[in-house]
Amino acid sequence: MSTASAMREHPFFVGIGGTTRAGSSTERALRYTAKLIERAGGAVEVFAGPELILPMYHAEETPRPPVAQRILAATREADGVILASPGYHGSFSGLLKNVLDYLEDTEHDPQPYLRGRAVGCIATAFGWQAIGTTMLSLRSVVHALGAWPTPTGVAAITTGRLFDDQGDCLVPDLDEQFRGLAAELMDFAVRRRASPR
Amino acid sequence: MTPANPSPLITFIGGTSRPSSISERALRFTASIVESLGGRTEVFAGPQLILPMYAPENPERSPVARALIQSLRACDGVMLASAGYHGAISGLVKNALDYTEDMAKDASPYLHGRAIGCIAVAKRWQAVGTTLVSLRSVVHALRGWPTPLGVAINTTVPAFDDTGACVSPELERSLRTLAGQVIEFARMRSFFERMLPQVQPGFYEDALLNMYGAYPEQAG
Repeated sequence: MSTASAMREHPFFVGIGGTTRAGSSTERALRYTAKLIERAGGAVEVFAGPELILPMYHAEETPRPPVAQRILAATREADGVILASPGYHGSFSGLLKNVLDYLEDTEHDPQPYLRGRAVGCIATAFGWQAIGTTMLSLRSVVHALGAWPTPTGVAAITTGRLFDDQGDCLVPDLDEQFRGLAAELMDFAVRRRASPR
Repeated sequence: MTPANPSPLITFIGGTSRPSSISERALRFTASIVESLGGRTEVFAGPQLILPMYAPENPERSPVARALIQSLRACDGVMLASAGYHGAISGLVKNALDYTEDMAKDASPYLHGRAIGCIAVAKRWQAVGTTLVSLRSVVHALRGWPTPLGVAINTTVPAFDDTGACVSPELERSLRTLAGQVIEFARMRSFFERMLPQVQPGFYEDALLNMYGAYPEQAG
């Protein structure tokens, strides 16, 4: 399948997530997944933390802020996407959802929203109930954006220390989930790029 | 179309204990679309799905249960259609899917590497939405890829006539898209499998090998 824009040399991914606080566990989870993908030969552009504080999406109000423009440009080129959100009251944050709302600007693209791309979801919370419902709501948005949620979703309980100072995952069981997610994203992107259309 | 697997096998599972239920008609109609797209189909539908309750400790399998697992092992994609019973998948469809536990130790376990199209049928929209979400959650647990589009059928709106023909052009369009996504995914995977050694000599295989431990399709 060819993308609307020129294909990059390596599979290209966009990571979006975190919280208003720089260096949150959610952001670390996102950056760790990005690192795994880079190790596997992919390229990743991460938009995380406070830089996601955008004005509320308003279809009529243009031009878009520079960060929104960069996110839109990157997602238009992306072969895959990573989303990471904390569970706020049992669902993803408004911060992340507002960023995704800007994808409405791609409505008339040849490949609108996230159509045809694989999207990996990472949900973080203090308890399992909120993680489950946050994951479900993230995946529902992925479907609405015309994309393929990866089989693996990473669910991380953020009560202990999960990452070391280099950003690597300290919990073997969780690490396995991150590796599974990264591999599925890479796998889908590579096949998609190689397939004729 | 790619020459690698021009005719992928899609396994269809769904319906209710009543023959010719709306979910069964949706399933069979989608099977006819898949065939028109060049796919092969195996359908397990309606009363045929009245299987003994899955019991992992009991090694006996009914002929239908055996045929179902055999089909799932061989297939390149799956289509699921469930009625929404009290806001979720029916026990009938869920029990049939519980038999995939027999595939837990396969080289390609459960529904690994396959696209799964989901059709939810219920009276009114609320149950349709929650049934679709529960189908997709099961697909994730079975390591499959739920298609971007899921089809929601509200039975208070006419959908199929007595011959099984679709009477709603919008629904037919959705089912065509759904069938297309399952087939497209199957062809994408088979094409890549064939091309892998030529496309990226050593590069991506090594990367994936490091992550998976073994490259999934080649391990089997």
